[in-house]
Amino acid sequence: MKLGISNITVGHRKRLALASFATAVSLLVGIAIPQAGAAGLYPSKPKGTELNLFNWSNYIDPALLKRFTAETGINVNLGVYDSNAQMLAKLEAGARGYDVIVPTDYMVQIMQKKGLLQRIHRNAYPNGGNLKAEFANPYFDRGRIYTVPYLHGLTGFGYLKDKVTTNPTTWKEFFAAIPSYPGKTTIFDDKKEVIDAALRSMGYKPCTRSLTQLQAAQDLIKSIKPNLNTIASSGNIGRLSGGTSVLLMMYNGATYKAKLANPNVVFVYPKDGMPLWQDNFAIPVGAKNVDNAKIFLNWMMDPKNIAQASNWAAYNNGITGSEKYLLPAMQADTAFSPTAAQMALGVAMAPCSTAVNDLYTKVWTAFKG
Amino acid sequence: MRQRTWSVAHLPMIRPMGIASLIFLYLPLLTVLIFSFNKSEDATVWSGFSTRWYSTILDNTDLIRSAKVSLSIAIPCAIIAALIATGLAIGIGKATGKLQNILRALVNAPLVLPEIVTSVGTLALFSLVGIPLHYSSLLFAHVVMCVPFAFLPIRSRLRDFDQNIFEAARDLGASSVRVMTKISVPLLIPALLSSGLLSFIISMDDFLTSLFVSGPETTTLPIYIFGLLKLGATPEVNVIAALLLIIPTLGLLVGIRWTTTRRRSNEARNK
Amino acid sequence: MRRQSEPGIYGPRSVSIPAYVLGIFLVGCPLIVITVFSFLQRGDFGSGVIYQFTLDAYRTVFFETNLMGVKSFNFTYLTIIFRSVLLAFTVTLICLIVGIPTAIWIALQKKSTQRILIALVTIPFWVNVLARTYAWMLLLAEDGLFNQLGAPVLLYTSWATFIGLTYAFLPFMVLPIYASAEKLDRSILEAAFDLGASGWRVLLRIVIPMIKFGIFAGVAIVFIPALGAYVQPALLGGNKTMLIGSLINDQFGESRNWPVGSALAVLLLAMTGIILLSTRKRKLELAS
Repeated sequence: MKLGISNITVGHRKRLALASFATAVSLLVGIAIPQAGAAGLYPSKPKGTELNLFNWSNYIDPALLKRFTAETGINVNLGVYDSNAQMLAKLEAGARGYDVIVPTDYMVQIMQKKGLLQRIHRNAYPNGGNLKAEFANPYFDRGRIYTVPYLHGLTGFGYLKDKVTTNPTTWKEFFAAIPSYPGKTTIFDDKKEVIDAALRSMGYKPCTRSLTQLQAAQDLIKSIKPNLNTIASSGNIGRLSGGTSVLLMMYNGATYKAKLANPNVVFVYPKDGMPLWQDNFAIPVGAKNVDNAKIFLNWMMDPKNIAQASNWAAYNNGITGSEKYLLPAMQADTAFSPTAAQMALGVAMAPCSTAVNDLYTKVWTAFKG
Repeated sequence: MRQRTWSVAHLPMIRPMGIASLIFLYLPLLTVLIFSFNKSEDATVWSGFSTRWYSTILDNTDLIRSAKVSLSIAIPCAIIAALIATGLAIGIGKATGKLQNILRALVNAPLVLPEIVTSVGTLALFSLVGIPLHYSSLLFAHVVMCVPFAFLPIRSRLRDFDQNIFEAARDLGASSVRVMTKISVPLLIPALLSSGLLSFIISMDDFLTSLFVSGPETTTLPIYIFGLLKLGATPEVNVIAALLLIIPTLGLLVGIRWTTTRRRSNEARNK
Repeated sequence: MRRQSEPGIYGPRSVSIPAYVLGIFLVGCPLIVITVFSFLQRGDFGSGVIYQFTLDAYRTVFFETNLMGVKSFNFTYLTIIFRSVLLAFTVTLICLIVGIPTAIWIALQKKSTQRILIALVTIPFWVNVLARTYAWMLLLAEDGLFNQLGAPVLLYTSWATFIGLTYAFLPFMVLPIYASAEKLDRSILEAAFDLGASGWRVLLRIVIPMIKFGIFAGVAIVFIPALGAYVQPALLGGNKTMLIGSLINDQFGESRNWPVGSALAVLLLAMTGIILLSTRKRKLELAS
């Protein structure tokens, strides 16, 4: 508006009048829209029948989505990705129209800085207050302005106790045991997870700037590479329960699922530390069906619904009151519910700086070769 | 002296290699076909005949949705690519101009360039110009890929015709538009069908370009299946792979039969 | 005046414009864009590009400052490129060794048998590449058919990638060779044979030279896609070793370094150009 006036010369009174009239109208409309929005920060009914969900592969119960459709009349189009970076790359390359995405903690921060996320107005949701205290104010989204929690878990390792007899309990022992099982071990296809674990195994801190420490991590992972069966972030449940790999970098929930298929499966919360990761629902800029996205977010904050997600994926969630809907056998298993001491080993991980990230890329490329 | 009669068997290694390569080509396909009827939960160990995994496929909404997406791209893609390729074949005639050669080389480039190059190039272009990754952007990326393939049958059909027909028509004063609408296009109709079929299959099959250029509503069948394959062998994937084997093969056989019977009946009529 | 050589003989020339427009905007422009991107700076937070000229991308590909700060040749990327070329070369070679006899064998059958055999070679080409790759996952997996028969588990090794690529491209090799072998004159072979030439001699001195155009075409159409392959290494190779295709994919996805990805794509493009030119040049030389 300021710009408009400064551009108009005195000789154009009429036009000025017109312009200010137009401005006034647009202001009125402009105010009217947010007001309508304030009442409608949470939609009273779905708009259209579509919702484009962009989620990790194999990360949500299909039956849950079917029930969502049955209860709300909104069809969910599911697109999947295998890593945060892949999802980010897709959005940055100009994919618009995803309504709900599922970024992990550190990725929320990156995406928010890049201006890729929109405010979700959680407080207007009927279920907006259902957050467990420890998930209401995370480092990556203070006050939960952009996200609501989905599931969370820890990265440790799993093994078959009938095959691996050394009972490894730390990353150090994990890496040391790998050469004993040539062609029978797997690590993630994820530079951050793998390099962090290697650093931890030697007593160093993740995101270190020390070149000697990174070199040591690179040497370590290069030395175990010939013994790896696969470098993969998906398909590991079957690999572990089927015995294709007997010692694998694993998430706790995936390991619990493998355990259901093979009782010899053990999950380890490494004593030298591990990341606690938290996945979240967020609405990206450019979403087509924002109202339906909000309905979905709210629906997923209902304890019964999120509990069904937890029961299917075997990861715990951040919604209060969901405990009573969780499967008792799962809840009793430490692979699903770590003890307080085990939980204390988990650290919420902020992303490394760009400089350190580039160093990580060097280490990773040298490793992959 | 015994008469030496010549046969293929006299050329060394020819017959055993030929037979071996057919076995090599079909062993994997037959394995998939057989194991899709496996009763076992284990994808690779045979335990008895069953069609149970085929029925689970029908409940897989993601699979069906992605198949619909693929069809919604492949059908228009086949039509557009066949039309554009027809235009190209008719328009260039026997031209040998330098500019036209360059342009034709550009159109045909997807035949010879590694797909990874063209797909990241397309992605980079779309993001540079600010074209959102959507249905139409994916559709056009597919059309570009299919046009040079669609061009092949049309071109060879045009060349096969008695060139005198076209020349006579021109000499008698028919305008080029009239030559096109009255002679070229009617003659090309059977070739258009095979161009369309070729484009349809290439579009249905494409993975890399779709991976880079797909947007929220365009998770195609190959993208969905690639995600499944990363999980390793499962009974469900056995069935999907078997269907991907059976459907195009049947389509192809029906197509071949249809064209041969058509040709025969045409020949009979001409007699 | 003869109109035969006149363009537009089948209709108006303007109807080819849509194809040209498509070619310029969706084939030409992307190639130009990646070439330009390869000389630009990487964007903030590591994605997109900044419009500032730099040779950084190529420097990253060829040189490296290692973790200790020492500058040297970057063997990492060069090794990946070399490995891709070697793999494509081996795949092409095996396809030749299997494809040439197969094509000749087919071409020397009765016409009706030929038609059936060619259809048999073509069918796998129509089956989705993912399904074909999956078939090998099934065969090579632990407890897969080959393993049950006593073979070692090859899935998730470079061997599996190699087999998968050979399998995918064998029809590409057989078809063009068959196209030129189809024209083989049996009577020449019979005559040579009657004059006492051994089978090998007939094959190497007469048959192969007669089908060399088909062989050159086959080499180009197998080598190029094998060089840029992505699906088979990703699914069969267990993602353990990088090839140029997976490297480019990684730079545009995971690593989000578009200039480096573009530079690698430009290198791949250059290699493709060299192969095309050399096979075409050979063709011309032989033709003249």
